[in-house]
Amino acid sequence: MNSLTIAWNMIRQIAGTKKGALLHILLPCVVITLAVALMGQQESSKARILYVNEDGGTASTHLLDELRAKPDYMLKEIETEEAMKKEITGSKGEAGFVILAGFTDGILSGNPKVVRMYELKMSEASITLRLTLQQLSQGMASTAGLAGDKAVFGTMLEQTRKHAVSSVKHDMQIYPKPGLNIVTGFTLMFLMGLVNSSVSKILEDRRRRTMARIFSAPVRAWEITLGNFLGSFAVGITQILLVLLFSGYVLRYDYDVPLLQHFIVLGAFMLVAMGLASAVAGLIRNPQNAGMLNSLIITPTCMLGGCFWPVSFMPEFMQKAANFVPQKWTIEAVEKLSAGGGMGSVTLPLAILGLMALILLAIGSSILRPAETQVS
Amino acid sequence: MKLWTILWFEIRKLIRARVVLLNLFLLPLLLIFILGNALSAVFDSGEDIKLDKSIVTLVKPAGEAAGDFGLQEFLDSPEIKSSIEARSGVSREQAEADLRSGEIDFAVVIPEGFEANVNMGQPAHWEYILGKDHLKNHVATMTFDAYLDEVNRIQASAIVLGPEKAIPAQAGAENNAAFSYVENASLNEKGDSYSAFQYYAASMLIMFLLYSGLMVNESLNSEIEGKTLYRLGSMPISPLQIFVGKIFGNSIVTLLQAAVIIFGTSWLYGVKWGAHPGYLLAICVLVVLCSMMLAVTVSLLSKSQTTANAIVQFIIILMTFLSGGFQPIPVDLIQKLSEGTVNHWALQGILRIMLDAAPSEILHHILMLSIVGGVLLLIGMISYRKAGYQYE
Repeated sequence: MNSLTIAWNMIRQIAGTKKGALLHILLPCVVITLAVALMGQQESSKARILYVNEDGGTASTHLLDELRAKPDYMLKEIETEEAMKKEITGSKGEAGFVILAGFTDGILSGNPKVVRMYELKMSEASITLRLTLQQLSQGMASTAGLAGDKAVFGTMLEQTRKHAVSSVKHDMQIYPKPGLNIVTGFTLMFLMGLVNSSVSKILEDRRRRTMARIFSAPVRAWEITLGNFLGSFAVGITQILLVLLFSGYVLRYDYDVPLLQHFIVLGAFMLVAMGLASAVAGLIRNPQNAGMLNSLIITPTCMLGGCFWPVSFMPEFMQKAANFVPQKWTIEAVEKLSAGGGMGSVTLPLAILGLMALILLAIGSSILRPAETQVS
Repeated sequence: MKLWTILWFEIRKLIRARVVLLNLFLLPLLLIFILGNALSAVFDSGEDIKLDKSIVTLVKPAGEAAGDFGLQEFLDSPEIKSSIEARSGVSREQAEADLRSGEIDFAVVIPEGFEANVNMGQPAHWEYILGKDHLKNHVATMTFDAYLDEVNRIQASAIVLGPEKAIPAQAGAENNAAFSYVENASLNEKGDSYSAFQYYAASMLIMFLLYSGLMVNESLNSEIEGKTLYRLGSMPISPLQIFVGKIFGNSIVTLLQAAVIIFGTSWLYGVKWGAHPGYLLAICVLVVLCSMMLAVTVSLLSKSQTTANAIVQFIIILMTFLSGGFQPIPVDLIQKLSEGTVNHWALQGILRIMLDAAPSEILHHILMLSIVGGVLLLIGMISYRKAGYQYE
């Protein structure tokens, strides 16, 4: 009962006033949702690829037609190489390539010219684009070797473009929604930032010696711990719920994950994030610096945990290191749910998250030492 | 002179604190280490990254030979073998069940009469069944599509040239496989190498610099909390001098941090920061100015320190996100929004320094950044006049 009083007091402190509720709960959630939804929109659509065609011959036309036919890219022609470099630097496209003048002649004569490719930062799209360009050019070179002269080459390419031999896909929808890992990653990153604020609230209590007063009341230590824990947990849960409801029902971003299951997984992550924030705060004497340190820890762990790029892009030992950050397991769990696995498929990630939360919260409960109010 | 005393004390205090050392040296280096290693596979070779093998079941019609159109050779080639482990399947139903259980990653069903249809110049299709992993589906689809494209090409050649001539095509295809048709070009104007690592190094530098505004907040606030500002009030020194001294002291430490990040990345990982150290310094100084002003303004205007910190942190993460610091986002609306952020102009400016763009272009970004900085400075000054820095 005492715990509930403490928890309720904490909730009131954070979101009790209109301004507080707006500032700590509503506004951040709306902003996160908007950011993530915009992000998700881009992820699900095609990758924007820029190109410059200096050649204009049969081979380059064929190359571009084939690329256009692929479902993954949206091509945009740019006049000059210089202009394209500027657009890519300004991140107006994910990658770009230049077909040099004489490309067709090069293919025909057997001394092919290379396609020049630019990227600002590697991504799945730029990697697959590189492979596809290589394959298409290689295929054309073989065709040219057989054709001999230009006219026959043209006819052969035309016949090739008909794609009489091709593939059809049977989709059982058992894979996670593409781009969901990044959307989840960013949601997690923002959530971690929000958790920080409730942990620094506890620290403020300690600094102002309110905590010492609570300890002098006829309340047991575990009740205080539980109270603080329940309070920040309730705030975090509300934030998650708002983010999920806003994105799902107002902005209609389809996570492809049942709401309740999604909520449980994110809730588990929230516990770990709380544990992490309080563990860091417990190790650092000065409470305000702790808040700063915490926010600086968010970025490296997010990178490691696959919030910005898939974990499988990283070398082996980094993938192993990723196992130690909660983001990796949360993303994995959300993806499994999205693939239609149901709660049964996420027992392992959830168990790991639970364990992490337990250990970190145990370490983190050391922030509840009322004596340490010291300001360096 | 008094200002210098405050400034010098601030620097000494910061350098002695453990958490500042962590923030200054350990975290940036950790971040850089993660970045450098996480993406090293891609930076080093410039080739596709080594992914886990996909296990693929090929379901072939009963009674037909396996060696059609060099499929076996294709599957046996070292390139394919490194990414795909092919097994032969019994039936479509079995393959579907295996996919659902996650035993295999992808399945290909070759229909009856595929070979005959291809030989007769008729349309022919393989069926792919997608598995549980999006990336593996993608890789497998691309790989087998490459094979089918090859078959398609042979068929097209056979239709145009007649079947006899087209057969040696497969042999020919193998020979030129070694030639690389795609070259990675550098966005750098002078053709110096540029890697995606530089992008992240720049965006993270800016983010760290922005966070340092929280340090000055902490310092200003601790004087109030510890009631030492009250004592300072009895000294022959104006609150403004204390205020400015603290900001300058923290700015110098922050610039030290920038130096650690820049030199650290360039020595440890060979990140090139371009040939204009002066411009780079200008951008760093401006970002630090923005960072300090942002933090101070929010802090002066809000009642609780916790709230102020939360708001500043949220603004920083949001600005970094919008400007594409974590991931470039080619959504028009976000790009428009990002033009109002400190990060956008700083990041684009640094990128152009790295890419050795024309000085006028770099200066344009520095100018825009100074405008943002100027506005923030003005707001900071107004809020100082309004709220003031004194012991209540």
